[in-house]
Formats: sequence, C-alpha cells, structure tokens
Amino acid sequence: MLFNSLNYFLFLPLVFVLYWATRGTTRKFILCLASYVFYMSWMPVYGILIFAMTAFNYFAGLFIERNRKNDFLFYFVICANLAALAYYKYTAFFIATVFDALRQVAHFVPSLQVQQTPVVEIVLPLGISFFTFEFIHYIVDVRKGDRPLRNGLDFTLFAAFFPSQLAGPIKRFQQFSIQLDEEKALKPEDTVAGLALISQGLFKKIALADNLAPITAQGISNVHQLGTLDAWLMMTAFLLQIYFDFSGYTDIGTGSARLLGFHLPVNFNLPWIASKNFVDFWRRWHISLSSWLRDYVFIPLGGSRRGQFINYRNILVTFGLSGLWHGAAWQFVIWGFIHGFLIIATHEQEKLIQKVRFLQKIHEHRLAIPLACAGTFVVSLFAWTFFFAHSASDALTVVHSMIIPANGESNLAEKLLQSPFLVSFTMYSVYGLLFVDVPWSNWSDRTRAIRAAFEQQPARQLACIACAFIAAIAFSPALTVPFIYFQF
Amino acid sequence: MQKPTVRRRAALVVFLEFVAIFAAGLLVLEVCMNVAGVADEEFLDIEPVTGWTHMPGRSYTYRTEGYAQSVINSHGMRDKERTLAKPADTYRIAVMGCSMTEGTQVPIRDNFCSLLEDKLNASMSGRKIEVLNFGVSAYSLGQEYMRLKHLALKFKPDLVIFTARPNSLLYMGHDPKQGFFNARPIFGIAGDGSLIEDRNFQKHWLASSEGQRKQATRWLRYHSRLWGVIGKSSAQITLFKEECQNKLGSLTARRPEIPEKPVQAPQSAAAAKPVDSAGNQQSLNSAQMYLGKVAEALVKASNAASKNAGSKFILVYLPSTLKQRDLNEQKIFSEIASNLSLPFLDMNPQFDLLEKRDHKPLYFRTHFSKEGHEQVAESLYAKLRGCM
Repeated sequence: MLFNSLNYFLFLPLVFVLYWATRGTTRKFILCLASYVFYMSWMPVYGILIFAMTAFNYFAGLFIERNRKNDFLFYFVICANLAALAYYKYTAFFIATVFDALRQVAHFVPSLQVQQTPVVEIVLPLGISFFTFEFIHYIVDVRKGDRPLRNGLDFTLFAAFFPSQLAGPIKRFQQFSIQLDEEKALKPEDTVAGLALISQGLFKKIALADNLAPITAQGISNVHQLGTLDAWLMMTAFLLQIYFDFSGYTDIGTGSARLLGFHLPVNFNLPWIASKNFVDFWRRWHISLSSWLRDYVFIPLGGSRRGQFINYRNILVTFGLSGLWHGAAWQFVIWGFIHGFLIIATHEQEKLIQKVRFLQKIHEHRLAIPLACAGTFVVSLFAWTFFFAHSASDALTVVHSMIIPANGESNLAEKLLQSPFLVSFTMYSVYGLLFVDVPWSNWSDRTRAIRAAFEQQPARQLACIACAFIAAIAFSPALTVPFIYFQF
Repeated sequence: MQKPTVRRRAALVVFLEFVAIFAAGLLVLEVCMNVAGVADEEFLDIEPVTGWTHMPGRSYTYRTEGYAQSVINSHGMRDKERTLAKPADTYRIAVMGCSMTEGTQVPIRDNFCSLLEDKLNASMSGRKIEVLNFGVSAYSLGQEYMRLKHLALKFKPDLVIFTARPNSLLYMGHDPKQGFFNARPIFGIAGDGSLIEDRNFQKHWLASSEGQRKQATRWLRYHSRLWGVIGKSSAQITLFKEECQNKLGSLTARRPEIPEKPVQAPQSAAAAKPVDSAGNQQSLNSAQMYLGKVAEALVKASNAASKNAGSKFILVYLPSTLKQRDLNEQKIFSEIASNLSLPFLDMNPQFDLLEKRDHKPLYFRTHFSKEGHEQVAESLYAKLRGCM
C-alpha cells in the first residue's frame, strides 16, 4: 500500500478510529494487525518473511540477554540477518560480478569457457533494508546491556509499525518501547501536527517530486544527448526530486505515527539549503541512517579516536557500505566513496582554516555560510550523478556534459516550463519562508508573529491543512510515481 | 467556568476563523492553479443533439498525454477562430472525428488538420484552403454524423473527411459503467435497414443524479479550477471503486460458461456489447457484424447529407498502436467503403511500416504524437491531391 494511494487514505482513518476506540493490548493488537495488512497488501507471502525474521530476532534477543559473552551466538544472529538481506538484495549483483570477473579472466585463459550470466529473479521485499537494520540495532544493543523486549506483541509492533516500515525512519527500540508502554490519550495538538505533516508530505511527493519525475526520466534515458544546461538542470531536478520524494514519504509516515500518538525520529533537516559542508550534510540528510551507520559501523570499526589514518579508513568503509546499502551496483559504491572522500576533505579543510588566519577571516564573513551551503549543493550535483545514473559510465557522461559546454537535444528546460512544478515550488517556498527556520538567515524573526498566530489556534492550522491537501491533488500529475527509496 | 453563551460565541469565532482562512486559501489556490494551468482538463459540455461538445471559449492545458495549451473557438471546435460564412475563393474541408482528430495532446498548430491546411495552402496557388477540425473526445460514429448534420455542414464544406478511430465499433454501444459517455445518442438499424436514433439511454442518464449534477454544475465546470480538482478526485475515486469491484468480483464470481453456439446478432446497438457483463468473448464477432452494419448505415447517411449540401466525402480509417488494433474492424471499414463506392484511406499499413522501419514515435500512449500528426497530414495530403 502506497502512502500516496487512495487505499492508504481509507486505511489510515479506519486504523485511527479503531486505535483510539480501544485500549491496552487490544490497541496494540489492532496496530500490529493493521501493520501486517499494510505490508501484505503488496505481496502477501512476504508477510511470512517479516514475521519469521521478527520471531527469530525476538527469541535471539532473549537468548543473547542470558548469554552476553557468547560471541558465536551474537555473530550468528547478526550474520543471519545480513544473510537474509544479502540474499534478497545482493544475489543478482553478486552473480553478475562473479561472471563479469570470470569473463575478464577468460581473456587471459583461453581454455576458460564462461557462460552467459544467469538471470536471477528475486523480488526485493519492501523495506527489508530498513527492518534488517532495526533488528541489528536491537541485537547489538541487547548484547551491550539493554533489556530486550519481553512482550512479543511489542517486538512485533516495533518491527512492523506501518508508518516507518517501508522506508524508515530507522527506529531505536528503546525510544519506541517507551512510547508503546505509555497510556496514550488522543490529543488535538498531536492530531493537528500529524495532519499537517501528512499534508506537507503529500504536497512534497505528488505536487513537487512527481512533477520533476518526467524531467529526470527524460534526461537519464538520453544521457548522450544532454547539453550543458540540460545536464545541470537534470541534476538539480534530481536532487530536488529525491529530497521531496523521500522527505515527503517520511513526513507522511511521521504524521501518520503522530496521529496514533507516536513520535518517530527526525530524518531530514533542510539538507540542500542549510548544509555548510558534507559533514553537516550527513547530519541533515537521512539522519536515522547516518546515525545508525555511525553507531553500528563507524564506531565498532574504531571510530575517530584511534588516529587520523584509522579515522579516515573508517569513514571510507562506512560510506562504501552506505553506498552498497543504497543499491546493489558499483555506481552506488562509487557514490558512497565520493561522499567518504568529501567528508575527509571537509575535515582537512577545517584543520586548514584553523591554521591560516586569512581563511579564518573569510570563514567569519557573514556571507560565508550561505556561500558554503551553495557550494555544498553544487558539489552534490556532481557527486549524486553516480546515485542517479544507470551505470558509472552514464554518470561520467553526465559529469562530462556538465563541465564541457555543449548544446543538447533534450529540451529539459521546455519540459520544466510545461510542468506545474515552478508554481507548486513557489507555493512551497512561500510556505517555507513563513514557517521554516533557516539557520543562516534571520528572516524567520520577521515572520514570528504570523507563525504565532497560526500556532495559537488549531482551527487556523486546520484550514491551511485542508488547502494544502487540495493543492497537492490539484498539482499532482496524471501518473503516479513510486517512491524512490522503495528500491532500497 | 465559562457561561454556555460565552463558550458558544468563542466556538463561533473559531469556526468563522476557519471558514475565512479556508476561503482565503481557496482563493489563493484558484489563482495559483490558473497561473500553473492545472485542474482545467474538463473542456466538454453536455449538449442535447450530439451528447456533448467542447465548451466554447474554454482555455485549458492538457498534460495527461503530451502537452498542449488550447483555446476552444466560439463554435465549440478545437481549432482557430473560423467564420460560419465561407470566405470567397476558399475551399473548405471539414474533418469529422474523435479525440484522434481533436488532437488535444499537441498544440492546435501541430494538429494534423492545421498541418494539412498549411501543406495544401503552400502547394495550391490561387485558392485558399481551410481545414476545419470538428473532432471531439470520445465521439462515436453516430455523434460524428450528428455533428456533421447539425454543425459542420453549416460551414458549407467542399469536402468532408469522415474519420473512424480504432475501436470505433466499441464506442457505439451503451455501457452503464461509462458515466458521462452515456450522454451520447445510440444508433441501431431497423429490420428494413434504416437507421434508428435511440435517445432512451441519453434521457435516462440526463435524469440520473450524475447527469443532473453535471448540468447543475455547468458554471463551476466552466469557470472554477477548484471544481476541476473535485472532478479529478471523483475520477480517481471512480477508478478506485472499479478496481475494488473487480478485485472483489474476481474473488467471488464464478467462471462464466461459454455457450456452445454463437450468440444471435443483437437487434439494437444498445444491447450489442462486444463483451458481455461476464466477460464472454463469444458474442464479439456477431456484435461486430451488427455494429458494422450500423456503422455502414451511419457512413451512408453522412455521405448522403454531405452530397445534399454539395460536399464531397472521403472515409478515413485512422491508425492505432498494434495493442489497440482490431483486424476485423479494419476489414469492416474497408468493406463499407467498397459497398458504398467511397474514396477510402486506411492509414494503418503505412504507420506500421514507419514505426517498424524508422522507429518513429508516432503515438504517446494512445493518441498521435507531433510526429504522428505530421504523418497523418502527409498521408491525407497525398490522398487529397488527387481528389480536390
């Protein structure tokens, strides 16, 4: 069931009513059942997979609590989780890589006969990357000393909670279980905040991201015909599309959770307009994944306290794995490494600024932060080509088109002007100017009075929410575009 | 504790604030939608003779397939403004058709009627040529006939191009599921072969709640984009309902029994649905045979009406993607032209060749792309050079 489908907008009110009409275990049971209905509406058989993985990790958590020093048990559970993820996500990639490598070897060994790469058709279970990471976090934290969840229903709900099931945010069980144990009451402020997030997310997804999708799709299917302007336009459109798509999804999920009285972790914090550098960017983009990678990959590898070389090695390994997590293809690994190198470059730059007085002066200038944010965005345009393109060679073609001036045949600018995106983006920008705090701007001081006027009275907010829903529908394109992060 | 009257007054203030902010928001939205050209795809209006026609003067932006901003002219045609009286020394061609002719997916200047007009004017010296586009979305052959008789012939065309779209025969019956499309008149043939005009389904639909609603909201449909949003949402809800019904139906329905003998040819086009409610395909050929006869009667009547008005007449079978192609129907139209001794042009073979050989993107999903329109204009130009 997609968050932007009509099914969901019938499903959610029904769950809302049933949830608040019940209490205690019945309430949890209803939420659990709803989560399974939500998941199984796509492919029922994978409901068994998520249930089996949940049962396995639940019992594993209880065992590990009693045998915290048993390394074998711990690594076995971690490997079992990773094996499930690897089987569904990386089998085809692994086989293709092996056959490609064998073909390379065959150039030098003529007697070696390499057959065609076998076609592996494994349908990736939606959200498996996300719930596997939640299971690993659970097992690691239990081993470290946290108390496991004893109530099976609580654990099932932690694994299957529908607002965060398919594409995060990646939850932490400690915070989630506290919320499960709370005796919740329906609060108007939660309902209004939830509806506001849902309407904002829906607008981001269908009025902004989906209107950019035809532009990026046309660009990427004709990479060799891209002119310089087209290449820049396409990459800008892609960065905006992926942000609006993923943060829109997260907003709808977080808003849905809020309607049920749950607070999910924040996943985005103005990454494209407020990131001063790439360290800052990864504190603002997909925050729940970044913090997971920090806690369960970077720090276990040794973190940053064991010398510069180890620190940089760990950064590269973490980002390489992050790339591989995003997609089973080499261009994603390259994308990860590029980000690793950009993080290292940021550390080096900061050291240099501390040493050179002239650079310090520039750094303290009032325009330094906005310019640094713009610079981060421009560098991202290049770095993300590897994320966006179908292959590394396509990515290099796009980079080439961006650097070497050329005329193209794609007419992406015309396509952009035909789309209603520019108007919906202007509407969203006006909303942002009124209601969003941008760290490097003091503009929000001037709009405080307007914000306060809306925050005081939920009826005023509800009127705006209703208009946002109508605007989202009005500006949505005829064709529904799937959420980009579902493929991960 | 507050007094009840104070509380009531406070609640009223809150409610009025909600209404005021909501109304202001809607006003802003209406302006933004106008600037962006969204939620204005409703450009058809109910009309008693043909069932529906374009809203005269309506401007709209179409994005479902392709992209075009269009303005309907004062006669309700998706064409540039035309005078009813034929200018002196002008040769007029009226093109009758459905959405394939209307071509709302491309700008008016890229439609095959406009392109044909340009080509003919460029090649024929001395005489001015006008190619008038009478195509309207989802028109059946019967509606084309009615539009020809009641509108197109008033423009005194010298030549009528009567186009049949792919799956024309499917559009001639009655389908209760099709909502707005039930506003169309249905045609059948009597025992003596004469054409029967059946308005019962149209009357029934116009009296239905949906029909009443469409008529009552005419002004809003014309002027409000917010109403367009409601229309867009209700179309989505209808699709969703159908999807649910199909899912539930497939869970509960029994497999339909296939009759051993072919079903008798139906006596009315209204009953002649090529696929019955159980999805039974056995009646397709007999239904097609009957609808073919109705189509022949309609083409014959259109040809006669044109002749009476002093116009020549050509039958054109427009091309379609292979997915939509119905070989039986292609054959039926070729036979109609041969039975009535009409000049006939079937564009399918040429389009197939171009698609296979040159890989030209001649269609969007269903309708012609810009290249498709260019090709139709080219084919018509080649055919007309000999006829005019």
